[in-house]
Amino acid sequence: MATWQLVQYVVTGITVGSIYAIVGLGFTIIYSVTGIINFAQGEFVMLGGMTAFSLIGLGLPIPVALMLAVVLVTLVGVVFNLTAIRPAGRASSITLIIITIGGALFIRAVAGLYWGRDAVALPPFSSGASLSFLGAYIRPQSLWVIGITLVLMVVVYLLLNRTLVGKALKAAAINRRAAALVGIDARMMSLVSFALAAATGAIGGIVIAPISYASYDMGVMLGLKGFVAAAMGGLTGVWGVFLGGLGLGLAESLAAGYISSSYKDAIALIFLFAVLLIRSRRLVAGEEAAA
Amino acid sequence: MLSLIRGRVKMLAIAALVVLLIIIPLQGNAYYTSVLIIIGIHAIVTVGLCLLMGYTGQVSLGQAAFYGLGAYIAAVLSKTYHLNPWLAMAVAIIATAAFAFAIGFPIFRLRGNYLAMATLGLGIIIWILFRELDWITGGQPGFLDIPTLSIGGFAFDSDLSFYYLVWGFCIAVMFISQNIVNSRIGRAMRAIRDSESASQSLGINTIMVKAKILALSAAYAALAGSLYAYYVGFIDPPPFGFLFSIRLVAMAVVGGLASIWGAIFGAATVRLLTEFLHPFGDIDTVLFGLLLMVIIILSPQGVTRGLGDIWRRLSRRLSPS
Amino acid sequence: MADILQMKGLTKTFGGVIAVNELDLEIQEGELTAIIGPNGAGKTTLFNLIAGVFPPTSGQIIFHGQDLAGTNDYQRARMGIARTFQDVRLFGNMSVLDNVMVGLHSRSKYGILSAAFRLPQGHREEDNIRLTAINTLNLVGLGRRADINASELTFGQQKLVSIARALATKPRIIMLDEPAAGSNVLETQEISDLAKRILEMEITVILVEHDMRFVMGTAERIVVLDGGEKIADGTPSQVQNDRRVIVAYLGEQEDEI
Repeated sequence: MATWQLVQYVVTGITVGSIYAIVGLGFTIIYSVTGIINFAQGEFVMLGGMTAFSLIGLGLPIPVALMLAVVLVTLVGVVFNLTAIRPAGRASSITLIIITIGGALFIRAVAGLYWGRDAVALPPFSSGASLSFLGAYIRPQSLWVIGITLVLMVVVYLLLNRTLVGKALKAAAINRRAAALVGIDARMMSLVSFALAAATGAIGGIVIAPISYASYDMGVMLGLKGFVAAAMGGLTGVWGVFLGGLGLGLAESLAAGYISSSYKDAIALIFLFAVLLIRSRRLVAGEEAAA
Repeated sequence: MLSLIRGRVKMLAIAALVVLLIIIPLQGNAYYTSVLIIIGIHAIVTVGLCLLMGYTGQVSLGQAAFYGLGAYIAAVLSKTYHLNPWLAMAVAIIATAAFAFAIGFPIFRLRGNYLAMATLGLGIIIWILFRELDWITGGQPGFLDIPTLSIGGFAFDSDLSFYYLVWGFCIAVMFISQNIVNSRIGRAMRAIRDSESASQSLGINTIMVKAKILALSAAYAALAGSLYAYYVGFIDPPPFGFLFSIRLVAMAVVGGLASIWGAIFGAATVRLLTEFLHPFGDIDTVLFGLLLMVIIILSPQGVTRGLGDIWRRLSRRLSPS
Repeated sequence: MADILQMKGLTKTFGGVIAVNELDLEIQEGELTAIIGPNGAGKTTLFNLIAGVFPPTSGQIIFHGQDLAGTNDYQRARMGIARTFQDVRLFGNMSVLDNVMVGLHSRSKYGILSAAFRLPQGHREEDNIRLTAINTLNLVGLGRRADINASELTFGQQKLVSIARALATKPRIIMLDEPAAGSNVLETQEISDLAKRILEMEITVILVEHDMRFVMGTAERIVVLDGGEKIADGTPSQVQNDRRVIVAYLGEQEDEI
C-alpha cells in the first residue's frame, strides 16, 4: 500500500474522530451529572450545523452566525431539559430513555420540516489550498476541526475540574442529597449539564459541516458514534472520550479505505458491541463492589 | 368479586372488538381495509415489545430489525428458493427467534441505557445488511414479486381475505400473550422488572427468561414482517430502519407498556395519525416525538390506562359517597 | 449433627479492601445461628458469598459436601440456599401472593408453550403453586393480605413477605439479613417465633441482626465477626462473656449509647 494513502486515511480518521469525541463529550457531560444517556445528543449536533447554515444564509457575518448558532442550540438544550427532563423527576431509566428518544425524534422531525431533506454545506472557516503532507492532502478545515476539538476538550476539562461550577456538577453527580444539603440544586445542575452538552454538540456540528455536510437526519449515526466514543472513555473522563473518538475515527477511516466504504458504519457498531461487552463485565464488577 | 366483574367486562370488550373486527371490512372501502391490515401487522410487533419492555422491563430500540428479518427471510425463501410461502414464514419465524435467543445472552448482560444503545446498534447493523447484501436482499432498489399465501386453491390475494388472515393471527397472538403474562413465566417477567437481584435469589435464571422473551417478541415481529412481505409483495430497507423501531416504541407507549390489548390501540393510534397527517408532510413524526414525551411523563401506564384513571376519578366524584 | 455448610479459608476483597478474611466456619444442619458484628464486619458480604452473588477471592464454600465453586446465585437457590435482603427488595408492582408465588418459580416447570396454550400441565401446576403460596403466606401470618399490592404493606410486613418468598423456594438453609431491623417490639417477637418455626420445618437458619435482645433470645449459636474475621463462636452466654467480643463489639456499642 502507498504511504500517502495511509497518511490520507489517518488524517481523515483523526478529523472525523475529533467530531465523534465532541459528540461523545456531550454524552459524558450529561451522564456524569445526571446518569441520563441523552439520545437527543446527536440532534444537538445536527441543529448546530443547520442553524449556522441558516444564519449565514441570512447574511450575518460568519463568526457572528456561528456563535449565535451555538447560543440558540444551547437554548434548545435548556428548553429540552426544562420541558421534558425536569417534569419526569427521578423516573426509571426506561422512562428517561423514552423521553430523550421522543425528544430526538421531535427535534429531527421539526428540522426535516423546516430545512427539508437536502444536505447543506457551510463554507470552510479559512480559505486556502490544501496542505500537502507526505503526499496526502490536508484540508485547512481538518486542522480547524482538530484544533477546536482540542481547545474544547481543555476548556471542558478545566470547567469540570478547576471551577466552582464543575465541582458543584460533580458533587451533584456523586450524591444528590448531600449536594442539596450544601446548597447545590441537582435540578439546576442537570440544566447546566444539558446546556453545556447542547453547546458542545452545536460546536461539533458547526466544525464538521464544511467537510461532511449537515442534514436533518445526521443525528442518529453521529449520536451513536459519539456514544461509542464516550463509552470507550468510560462515560466519565474528558480525555477518555477524546481517545475513544480518535480510535473510532481511525478504525472507521482505515476500514473504509482498505475494505469498503459501505460498511463504514458497521465498524462503529462493532466497536459499540465490543465496548459494551467489556463494560458489561466492569458493570457487573461495579455492582458487586457496591453490594 | 371485583376482579371477577372486571374480568367479565374485559371478556365483553374483547368479544365486542372481535365482532367489530369481523364486520368492519364489510363496509367495502378498500383504503380503510388496507390501513386496518397494516394496523393489525403493527399490533403484532407491538405486543412483543410490550412483553419485553412493559412486563420484563427490558428496552429494545431495534425491534424493527426482527420485523425486517422476518420479511426478508420469508421473501427470499419463497421467491428465490421457491419454498412454500407458509413454510418460508415458519422458517422466518423460527430463525429470527433463534437469532434473538442467541444474542439475548450477551446483550442481556447489559441493563438500562447500555441495553438501549446495544439494541439500537443491533437494529442499525441488521438494517445495513439489508441494504448492502444486495445479491440476496435486492439492496436499495428492493425485492420484487414476492409470492402470496394460499391454502389449497384459495389465495390470500385480496385485501379482504388478507385482512381476516392478519387479524386472525393478531387475535391469536393477543391471547397467547395474555396467557403467558398470567402464567408462571409472566410472574417471573414482572419479578425481573421489579428486582433482578431478588429474582435471581429465588432461583430464576433472569438472563434465560429475558432471552426467551426477546425470542418470543422477535418471533412475533418476524410473523408480522413475513405477513407484510406477502401482503405488499415488495420490500426494501426503509420500513425496517431505526425510525420504525422508535415508532414501535411509540405504539407500545401509547397503548400502555404493560398492556397486551393496549397494543392494538397504540398501533391504531400511531397508524391513523400517520394516515390523517400524511397530506401535511412529515408532521406525524413531530407528533410522535411529542406523544412519546408527553405520555411517558404524564401517564406512564399508557393512554388507555390514563383514560381509565380519569374515568375512575370522575365517576368517584360524581357518585354520591 | 452433620455440617450443612462449611467455609474454608474464605476470603473476599474489594479492590484491596478485605471484607472477609480467611474465614473458617461450619454451620450445623438444623441449627439457628446468628452472625453479629459491628458495621463493616463482613456479615452481608458473607451472605452474598454463600448465596453466590459473587465468587470469593479465595477459599471454599461446601454445601452438603458439595463444593459450590462455579455455581451462581440462581443455581444455589435451586440447590436449597435461600436468602432475604436487608433492603427487602419485594416486587413492588405485584400482589403479596404473586410475590410468594415467584418464590415457587424454580419448584415448578411448565414452560412458555404450556402457558401460551393453557395446557393442562400448566393448570395443575398453577393450582399447586397458588395453594403452596397461600400456605406459606399463612405461615408468616399474612394470608389475609394476599391480594393487595406488596408496596402497600408496612415495612415490617414487607420483611415477613420476603421471608415467605424465600421459604417458598423450599430451601434447606435460609439466610435472613437483619429480619428485625425497623420492626417494633411486637413484630420483633413475631419474627423470633417465626425463625424458630422455620427451624421446626427442618430448615437451617442463619441470621444477621443488630438487635442484641433478639439475637440472644433467638439464636442457639452466635458467631461474632470483626474486620472480616471470626473473633468468637459459641452459645449466647459464652459469647456474652467473651472478652474480645466485649471489646470489639459490645463495648463499642455501649460507648455509642
